[in-house]
Amino acid sequence: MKHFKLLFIIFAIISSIGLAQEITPTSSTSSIFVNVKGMVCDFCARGLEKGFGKRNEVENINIDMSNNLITINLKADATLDDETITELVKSNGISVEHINRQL
Amino acid sequence: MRYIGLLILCLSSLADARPISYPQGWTAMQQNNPNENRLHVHYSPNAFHSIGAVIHRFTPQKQSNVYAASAQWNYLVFRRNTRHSQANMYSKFGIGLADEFTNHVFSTLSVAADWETRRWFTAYEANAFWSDSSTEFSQSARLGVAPYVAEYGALHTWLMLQVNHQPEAEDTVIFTPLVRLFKGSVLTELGIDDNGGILFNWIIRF
Repeated sequence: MKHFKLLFIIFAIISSIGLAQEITPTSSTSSIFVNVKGMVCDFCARGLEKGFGKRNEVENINIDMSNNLITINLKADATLDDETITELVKSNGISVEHINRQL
Repeated sequence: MRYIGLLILCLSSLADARPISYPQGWTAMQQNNPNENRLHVHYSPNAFHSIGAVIHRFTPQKQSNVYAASAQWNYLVFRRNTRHSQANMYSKFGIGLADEFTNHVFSTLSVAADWETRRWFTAYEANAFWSDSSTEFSQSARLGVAPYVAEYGALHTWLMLQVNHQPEAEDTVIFTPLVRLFKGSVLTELGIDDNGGILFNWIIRF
């Protein structure tokens, strides 16, 4: 009986580890929300699309001119730091107001 | 000679209120009115400079065609971004050749400023021209309003009024109401000045 209990506990632990591995995704995507200043015309925004589109980390970006918002959708497991984002925005003649991240 | 300088200046160009494109972008633009045609192609290595070439054809006083070619450097002197507006100041320097001048060389310098929101547009440009035989000055301004505010990627429409002031010309002040349309990377303008002359401009960015 004692052996059965021990075996049962070991089996339960191994099963839960296995299940945990099945449930937890091996990759995750994320979006970065960048509020900007000076994005008042399509040409301004188009430069941002081209600039971010060249980055390997970026899946795509969405431009919302009404809310002065750029949404950067990253590829799975990719990251992009604030400094790089700020530099890319600034190189297109636009200013960053703040950056928010969401998983 | 003086008239030719003014002609070279008068198409220098409020049509290109954004004379520098996005980084590594190419721009081709053409401006036309009854007496002149101008083709300008420029490259912007970054958001602060562009360098390009201009070919200019005009017919002063309905005589034979005159051709000029020049190189032009545009520089972003100042920019201020707010949440809902952008203000800019640019300098544009050109140096070129035209058969009409004794030593064939001319140069131009323009200073341009603009302020825009998604609804309103204002721009001003002052131009100076030098050749071996004359020095000319002209200025121009635009006021524009968007009858509707379009979202990114949609068709944008602007109604504008342009005024050109050329102190040395026969007709010193010319008013041109015009419509600007742009979608994506293509912009066109169509207007009629107060002498009945048609203005047609286009810009494509790559």
